[in-house]
Amino acid sequence: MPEHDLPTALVTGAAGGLGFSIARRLAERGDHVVVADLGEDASAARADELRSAGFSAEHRVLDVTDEEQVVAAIAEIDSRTPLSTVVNNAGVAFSSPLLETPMSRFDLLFSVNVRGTFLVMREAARAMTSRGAGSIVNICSTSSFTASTGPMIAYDASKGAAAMMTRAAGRELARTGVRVNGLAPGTMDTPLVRGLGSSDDELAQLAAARIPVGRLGGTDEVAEGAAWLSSPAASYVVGHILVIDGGWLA
Amino acid sequence: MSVADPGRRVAFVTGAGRGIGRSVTLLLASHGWDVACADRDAGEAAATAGLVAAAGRRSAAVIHEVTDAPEADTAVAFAESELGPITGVVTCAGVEITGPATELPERVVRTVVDVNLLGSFWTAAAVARSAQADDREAAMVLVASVNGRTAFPGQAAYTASKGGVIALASALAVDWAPSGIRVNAVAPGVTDTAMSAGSLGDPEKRAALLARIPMARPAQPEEIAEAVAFLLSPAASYITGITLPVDGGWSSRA
Repeated sequence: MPEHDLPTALVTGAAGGLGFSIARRLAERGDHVVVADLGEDASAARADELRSAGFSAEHRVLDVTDEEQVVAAIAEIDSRTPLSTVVNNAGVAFSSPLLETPMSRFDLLFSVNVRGTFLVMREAARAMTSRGAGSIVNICSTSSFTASTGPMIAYDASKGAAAMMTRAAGRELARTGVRVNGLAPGTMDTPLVRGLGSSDDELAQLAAARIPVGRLGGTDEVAEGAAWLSSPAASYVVGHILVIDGGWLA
Repeated sequence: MSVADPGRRVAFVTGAGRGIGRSVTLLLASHGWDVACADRDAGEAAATAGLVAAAGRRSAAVIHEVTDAPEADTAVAFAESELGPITGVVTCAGVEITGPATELPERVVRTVVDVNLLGSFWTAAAVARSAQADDREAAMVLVASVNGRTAFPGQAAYTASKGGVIALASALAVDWAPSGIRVNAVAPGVTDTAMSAGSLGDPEKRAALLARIPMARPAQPEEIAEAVAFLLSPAASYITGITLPVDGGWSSRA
């Protein structure tokens, strides 16, 4: 690991579509980025990709549902290279009608999207509040505010919980110098969204019919929101979930 | 905040003479925007325009009363004749008059709604007419208030007008999305400006206000300007129809 004195950003789920866009955007602004994800190969490849582009990055295998692992990882990273930004991006999504959702699937959504976000936020806040500075960005969803068009009751509930944790933590930590905010992407063109089962035609129809700007969002456009919220320009923005949805919720 | 835009950028800012409008104007100039500084006060419009010029950007002082609907197109045409096609709009002109709804004179209520809500409406519509005429993309930010969603005692007129601004941003965003015009609102919390001097200057009122703000301090107008500049920038290309509170956690909501 090269020595550096760059501000350090940890991005969870950073091997995925949105997570990697965020990691890349934070690297572009000059952060050292910790690319954290479940798999060794995927996270290492993504960190390599950033280093090849001339940025400062490392990778870390991280399962956000594993308390011991998260506690140890954040303590280790922070002791070596103090965290200034943490983006809680790790998440799972799938359609599942109420009548057909086994509790194991419900528990998986809440384990990653709610408990994982809470845990990473708690550990990040422990590290940051001791210095009185830092920024946490939780990836929420337009489903934090409105039910998804497909049957995604458990996912919608998990994102509603993520949004409320963001507000509550933002408020609780406001006087410590640590800012907590969220991002609510609308429908983006990512593997996760495509994994929900819609065809290209269906996604295009959705964009034309329901999204005022008439197109899906790019992960780079959502990453800009993460960069702004975690920058000094947002110094008075706390407990807010920034909606980036092409006008969907308007 | 760092997406480079090679094209010329011209902003039309109302209420540019003081407070948030002045801070927004100066920040936009520092980000490379040329700015038409609209204000009802000729001297203040000229003073801000002078500061923009001193910062190395082109500027024009536009003497404009935002409640004067028929004059909105004239003001926009004048600004464009001076600076070129407008691609950014910020409506900062505002007035806050408090008092019990049962006692506020009709004239006062109408003034608050005329300036805060309809003033934003006329300005935004005038620029949209110009932009749509030559198929030009643009971004607009309407300055609302946290009081547009959270009521304070004695603020019925102000809260109704600012709530209207928030709804207006959503409505215009949906109407104009197909023509490439983004419209958002910024909702400042308690901000350290002349307009808040009455409440922030009184130690008792100041303490009561700060007790309700999670960050326990008022905003500096520059912090509001940063949010406006972000929403106008290409970095916010997929953001439209939202309200961004810049309130130290006051509203803790979307």
